[in-house]
Amino acid sequence: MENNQNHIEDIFRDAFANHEMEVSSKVWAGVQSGLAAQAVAGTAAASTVMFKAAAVIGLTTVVVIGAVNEIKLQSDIAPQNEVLVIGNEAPETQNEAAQVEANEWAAIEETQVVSTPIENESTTKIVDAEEITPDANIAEQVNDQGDVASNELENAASSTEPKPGIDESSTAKNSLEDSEPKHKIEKSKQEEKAPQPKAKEEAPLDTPQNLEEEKEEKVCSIDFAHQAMGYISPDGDGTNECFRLEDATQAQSFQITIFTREGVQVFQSRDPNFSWCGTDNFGNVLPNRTMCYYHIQASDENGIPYTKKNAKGSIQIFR
Amino acid sequence: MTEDELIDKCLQGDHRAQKALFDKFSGKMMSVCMRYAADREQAEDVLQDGFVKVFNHLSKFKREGSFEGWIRRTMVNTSLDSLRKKRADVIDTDITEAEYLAGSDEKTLGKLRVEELMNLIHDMPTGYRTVFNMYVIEGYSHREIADELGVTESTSKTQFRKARTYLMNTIGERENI
Repeated sequence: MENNQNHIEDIFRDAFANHEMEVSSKVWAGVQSGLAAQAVAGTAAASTVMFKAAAVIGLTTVVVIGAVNEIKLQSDIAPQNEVLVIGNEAPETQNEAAQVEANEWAAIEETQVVSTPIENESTTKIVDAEEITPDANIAEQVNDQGDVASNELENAASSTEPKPGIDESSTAKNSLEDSEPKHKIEKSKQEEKAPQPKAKEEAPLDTPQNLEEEKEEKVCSIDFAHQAMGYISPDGDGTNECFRLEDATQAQSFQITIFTREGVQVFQSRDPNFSWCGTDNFGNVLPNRTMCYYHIQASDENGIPYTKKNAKGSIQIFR
Repeated sequence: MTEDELIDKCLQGDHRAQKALFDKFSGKMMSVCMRYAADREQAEDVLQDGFVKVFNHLSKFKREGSFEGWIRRTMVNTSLDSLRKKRADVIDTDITEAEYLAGSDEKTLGKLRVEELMNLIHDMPTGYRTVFNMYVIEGYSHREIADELGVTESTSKTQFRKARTYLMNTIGERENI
C-alpha cells in the first residue's frame, strides 16, 4: 500500500518533470504589453516619488522656517533636513523608494495642504506655515503612528506661531530651492505635459476643504490615488503603460467604465485591481491620441458613494 | 546561444532574445501554470504574468542555480498569487474527504498519459490540487506550503493526504501497480 502511494507520487512527478504544453500566441503578445505596462508603472511611481520629494522639500522648508525663526537652531535642524532631502535625491530607485517612504508619506500627505501651495514666493509661504497649525492637528489625529514627519510638522507649526522673520525664512527657503530634487521635479512636470491630471491626482489632498469634509460624518472612506496622470502611453517603452488605481481595494463595491469620446464603451471592470492598457472590449489596440473618459462608481463599507473629483476624468492614449 | 548569453541579451532589452527565452520555456511553464490553474484561460493569464515577472526581475537571477528552476518558481509563485486573488482561502476545508474506493476504474496508473494525469489534477478541488502540486511535483515541504498558503502545517498534510486518496480513488487501483 505504502509503495503504491509513493508510486503515485513518482508517476506524477516523472510525468510532469519535462512536460510541455502548447502555448497560444496571445500569451506572448500579452507578455509584451505587460512588460510595457510594468515599465510604465515604474515611471509613474517615479513621478510620484518626485512629487513626494517636492512635498518633503516643502515640509522641510516649513520646518526650517519655524526653527530658524524661533530658536535659530539651524545647525541642529540642518542634518535632519539633509536626511529628508537626501532620501529623495535618488528617484532612480523609485519603486523601492516609494515603498520605503510609504509610511513617511502617510504622515506627509496631510501636509501637502501646506506644501503644495508653497511655490516660489516666500511671503505666501510664511502665511501657509502659519496655517499649518490646525491642519497639523488633523494630520496628527490621522496618523496615530506618530511618524517623524508628522512630529516635525507639529514642531514646525508650533514654532511658526511666533511671527516669523521674513528675511531669514526666505534665505532658508532659497537654499532649499537650490537643492537638486526640486529642479528634477520641475523638469519632470514639463516632460509629462499633464499638469491637469496631476492636479487631479492630488485633488483629495490638495485643499483644506477636503480635510474639513473628512471631519463630516457622511463621508466616503475611500480615497483613490490615480497612478495614471491623465494619459497612458502603451507603447512598450515602459512609461505609464496602463491605467490603474491604487487603494481601490477598500471599496465595498467598485466599477469602472471607460468610454471613448464618441461614447463607445471600451472597458468595464468590477475589479479594483483592474489595469487598462488602451485596448477596447475586444482587445483591439486603440489608436494613438484616442481620448477616453473614465467613470468610477464605488462605495465604501457604509454604502456611501465615492464622489471625489477623480471619480471621473479623461485619459488620452499616446503611443 | 548559451543560456547566459540569452539572459544577457534579455537584460539589454533585446526583444528577439526575450522571444527566444519565452519560446524556450513557455511550453514547460504552461504545464506548470496549467496544473495550478482552474482552466486553460486562467493558466495562460498566469503564464503571461509570470513571464512579465521573469523579464522584470531577470537581473535578480544570480546565475548560480538552474535558470529553469528559477523561472519555474516564479511561475508557481505567480500561480499561488492568482489563487490568492481569486479566493481568500485556497484551502477549502468544507470539502468532504474523498472515500477510498479502490478498483473503481480499470485503468492503471502506469498506463495513464500526462494529459490524463493533468485531467486528474484538474478534477481535484483547488486545495487538494494546490497542495498536491506543491508537495509532489514542486517538492515543497509541508512547512513551506503552510507558509505560502497561510495555513497550518497539519492542514497541508491533511490536504495532501486527501488529495492522494482522491486521486487513487478516481484512478482506481489494481494490485501491484
